[in-house]
Amino acid sequence: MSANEIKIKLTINGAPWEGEVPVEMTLLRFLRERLALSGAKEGCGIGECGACTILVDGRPVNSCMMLAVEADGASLRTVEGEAQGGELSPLQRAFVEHHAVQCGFCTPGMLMSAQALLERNPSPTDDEIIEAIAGNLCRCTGYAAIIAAIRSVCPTDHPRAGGDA
Amino acid sequence: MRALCYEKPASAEAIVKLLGDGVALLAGGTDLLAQIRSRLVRPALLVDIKGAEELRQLRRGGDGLSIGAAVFLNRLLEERDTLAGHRALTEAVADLASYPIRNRATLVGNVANASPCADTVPPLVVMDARVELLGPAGARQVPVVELITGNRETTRAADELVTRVIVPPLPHGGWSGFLKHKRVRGHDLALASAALLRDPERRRLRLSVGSCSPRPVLVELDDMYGKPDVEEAVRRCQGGIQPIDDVRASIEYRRDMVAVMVHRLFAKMSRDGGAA
Amino acid sequence: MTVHRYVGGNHVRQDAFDKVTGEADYVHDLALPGMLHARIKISPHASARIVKVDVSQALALPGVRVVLTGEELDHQLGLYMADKRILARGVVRYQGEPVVAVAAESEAIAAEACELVQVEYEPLPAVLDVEAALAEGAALVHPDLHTYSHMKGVFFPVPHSNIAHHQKIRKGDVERGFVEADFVFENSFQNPPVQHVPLETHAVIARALTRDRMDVTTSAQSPFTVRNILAHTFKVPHNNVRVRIPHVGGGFGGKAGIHLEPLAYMLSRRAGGRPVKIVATREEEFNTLPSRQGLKTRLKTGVTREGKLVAVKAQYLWDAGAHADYGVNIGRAAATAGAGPYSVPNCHVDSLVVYTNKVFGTAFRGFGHLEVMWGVERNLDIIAHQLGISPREIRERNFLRPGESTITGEIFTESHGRPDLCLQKVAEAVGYEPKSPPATIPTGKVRGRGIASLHKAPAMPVFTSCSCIIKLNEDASAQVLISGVDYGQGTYTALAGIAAQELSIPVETVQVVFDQDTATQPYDWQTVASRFAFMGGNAVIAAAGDCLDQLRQTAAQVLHAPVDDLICEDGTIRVRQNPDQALTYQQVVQGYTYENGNSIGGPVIGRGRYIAQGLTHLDPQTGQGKAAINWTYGAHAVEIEVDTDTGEVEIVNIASCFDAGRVLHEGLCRTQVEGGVLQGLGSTLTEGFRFDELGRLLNPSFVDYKIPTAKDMPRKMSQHFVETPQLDGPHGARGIGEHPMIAVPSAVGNALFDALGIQFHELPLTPERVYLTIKRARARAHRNSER
Repeated sequence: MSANEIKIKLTINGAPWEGEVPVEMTLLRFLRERLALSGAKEGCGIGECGACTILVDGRPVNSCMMLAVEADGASLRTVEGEAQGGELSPLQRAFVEHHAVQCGFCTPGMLMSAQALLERNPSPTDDEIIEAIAGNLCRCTGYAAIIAAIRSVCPTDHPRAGGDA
Repeated sequence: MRALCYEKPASAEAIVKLLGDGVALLAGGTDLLAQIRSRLVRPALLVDIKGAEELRQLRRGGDGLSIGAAVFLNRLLEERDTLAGHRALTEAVADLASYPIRNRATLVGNVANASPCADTVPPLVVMDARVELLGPAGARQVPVVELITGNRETTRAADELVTRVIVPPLPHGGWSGFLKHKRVRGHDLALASAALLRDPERRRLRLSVGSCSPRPVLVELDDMYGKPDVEEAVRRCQGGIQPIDDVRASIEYRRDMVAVMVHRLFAKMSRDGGAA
Repeated sequence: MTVHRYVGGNHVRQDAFDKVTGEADYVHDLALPGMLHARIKISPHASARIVKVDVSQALALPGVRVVLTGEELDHQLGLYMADKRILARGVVRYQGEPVVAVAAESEAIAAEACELVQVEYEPLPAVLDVEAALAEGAALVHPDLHTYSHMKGVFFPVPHSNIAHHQKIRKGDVERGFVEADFVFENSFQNPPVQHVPLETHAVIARALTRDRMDVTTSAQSPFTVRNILAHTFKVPHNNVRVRIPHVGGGFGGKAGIHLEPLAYMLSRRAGGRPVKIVATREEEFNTLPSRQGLKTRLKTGVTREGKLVAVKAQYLWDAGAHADYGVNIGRAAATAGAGPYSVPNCHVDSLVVYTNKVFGTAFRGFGHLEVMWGVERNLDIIAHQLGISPREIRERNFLRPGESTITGEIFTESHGRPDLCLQKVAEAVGYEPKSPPATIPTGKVRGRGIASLHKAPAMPVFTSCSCIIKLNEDASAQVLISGVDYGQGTYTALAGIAAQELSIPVETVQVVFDQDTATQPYDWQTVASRFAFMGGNAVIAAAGDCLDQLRQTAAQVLHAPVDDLICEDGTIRVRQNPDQALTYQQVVQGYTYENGNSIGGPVIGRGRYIAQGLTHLDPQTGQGKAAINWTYGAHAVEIEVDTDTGEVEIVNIASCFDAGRVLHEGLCRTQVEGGVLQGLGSTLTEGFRFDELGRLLNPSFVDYKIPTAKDMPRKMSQHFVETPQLDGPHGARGIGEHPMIAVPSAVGNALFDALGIQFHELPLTPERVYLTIKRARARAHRNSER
């Protein structure tokens, strides 16, 4: 039986949520309008800019290119869940210290892409860092400070193949 | 305003039962959602294929590599052993869109969407890949090169589902490579792309060019298997493609880049000693 | 006693914390109770008469509250020329122009309603480039141009033409100069329109209140300009208009003026005062909101055989699109900089801002200077090559020196800045050596190096000003109220450092209040032109000084000492010669209370203001006058690698240097340059609007409008600074916000010549353009060799 509002259950930043969502509602709109998590932004609506990047079952996705109903049963993480007990995560702190934040609109998505990278690959090369964040457009920083911030969170003896960016 | 409906059946057969007019298949959604947003398509029902266990299978078997319709692209890069050797395919996937998109977009979706710019099509074509379609009457297989008949047109019937792509087993000592030409180093659609395959078992030399025709282009070079004539290979490619002038590139530039890519693929094959 | 020294330091941005946690609110994130969502229907035609608008089906859609058409709106507005309607009325002037707007209970309903609106058009002849617009008998974009109100005495539209403004610079005698010169060269150059691409598109929430009042929250760079134009447009007192600005997700000039605010207000008014939110889609950001103007440049240059500039005649034809917006001021400002940072004894500039039927141009980082410097710096390299002089030598020979005059008659002094030092530093950083370009066009991957110099002064009215209020809180922390907007450039962090240093308190205790509100913050002109740090810094210093005066006034009475004997340091006020006689700021900051209860003094509110000093109007015929409060000079040197088989250009190394006067904050200045260079590389290698033969924009999305990603970074980038103090700048500083973008294309174009021996005249330097230019050049060389 088809329905226009679908019941879904998921966890968001570790907390359970269930309720009904319209089919056409993107995961991005769901986060922003239903869960009041406005960190993820709509920069283009077609999956090209990455401002909407969040983690779904640990993987970065463009939430504007996913429907909320597709998140049924999933574990979601957004930037709002990164700081724990009022303490910024090491990556968030690195972004602040390295001036990797200017207007800040790309920052939540950028952080989630970078955080996911570090969780799957704690010692990425520069090329791997770039590959991980290349889908996150930033118009302000020129990316150098962002890469420096990500690198600073890696162990100091990590391999650095791929030139100096 | 009609509200959109949604189903997520638990099997491929259950999916097929729902197909018909006004139904859109939802795999990764990275093409479909953009099309819905720009009102290119206005489905009444979305059928989510990701609930069918069999469609999530990625395995290597006797008949070759089987990539289920719900397998998203990053899995192909992560499960290296399963994909080992099908280099043209992994090279195409590695430069497709961006990392987050590849966590959703599927290989089957890239093929079934049948955009002339689809990056996975040239490798699949040179590898003689097939799709398996499931319909009310049962399953059938169609070579990828025959499936796509034009710009976003395929021989898939409205009541058929592409369940998987099958890539034949690798020839021993075979080689494949893929090149994509873009406007930028960042993510971009291909202005032109090319895949080359050398199959020592069947003495085959095959090229496929992407983004330069409404249909897949397969160029057979078997006659020069022992002694590749790159200029002749380029000539045959030029004869087989129908590039257009558009906002991305001119016909002249596309044709010239096809020639460059063919040269570079042959050079790469030669440097690799002709083997994967 | 802690010494509080922050100027030149590297303290963290205050706003970074909110941004990394997702707490920072942008207009995109805000909502008000009862809010409606609006969408617009745009014109499909570049030029057409609106024959009929049928909104009946849209009105009938459940959830639709307002459908607004241009016929119902009589207003005409603009920053300098009132040539724009809130919605198209009678005619449409560009493909993308807003024609109808709908406010509804949800965005989806509003979008659906827009689809249901039927508009009938009668296409009219359109002019799609500047030559067509200037030709005899050309269709007029604004036939009623002569009736528009405009800033008289500054801008000069030509009635019954497509010329919105004609800026003239006349210095010396160019014709005699050409006669005296050893060589005369003529070259042309071209730039396409380019979009700012802020990550946050334009967004506004407007609420029409009773008694002709309004409350507007907008993603914008200039709250007081928005207020001013709203007040004038709707003929209400300034007090009736409240403009608020939360965090802004990038501006780059695109949000400098006024855009969707009047429309949102009118929708709210028609909706009985319900708030209305409009958020531009990314496609609308490209197609409807403005861009950079395109430019066609013609330069005629007379030089001695040693390469000394004798005469320059420049023609700049600005493709303004359908509305003048900032375009007229760009035409004016860029003309004043139009010969580069060089001494040019005879100069003739004609800068025409020309209407066309395309999406209109507005301010964009550099304000015309990137476009002008593309021509000027490429021109200089072309001439250097033809004279057999190195690009570095020709620049060093011609840089302005103390005592020489600019093309607007301003005398260059010791404290203007050092373009020569900037060039020297970048040349060293990249290993730039003079070399001849290859005799034959090379094959394979080739490297080349190029340099370019630049200059820019803030382009602003003679009366531009800034004001600041500093409130000291009970705990002796400070709140700084200032209406320049920090939309990512980080000026608030620099100002916090200045305030903390002046007040001698820890920088963590200085809060530059982030949310803008014309009801509570003091006036600032606009956050553009690289003048905010300069003027804001001066205003902050004045306000901080005022705070200290008030602290000392009260303390003097309590300590029984003359005011001049008191020093404020590290949160205490003490008598210089008797340091034991001291009070803390806390004891005085809300007034001082004696033991018996008598209280004196009161809350400390520091006021500071700064107005541009000594500027003059430019003579309408000669352009002579003092338009610039300061000039920032700079240079880039770049090493590129070009793949001649494909035309792809990779930046191997780019060094950039600016004479900042004083580096107010190390990290902010460095990252401004990094960001500006990448944005400049976008304009250099990939960005540009493409239109079809009917004037329709072909690339209104990220699919076909590509901006640099992390993969497009140069392999190596370095940032350098010279510090020639700006005598009237805060701690000697002048602005560097726009400058990092300006001459990047020029340096790369020059490097391509060094690599290939081929001159490029048009941007962007896409792989296709580079490849086909090489291909044609090879074919020509082959034909020539066969003769």
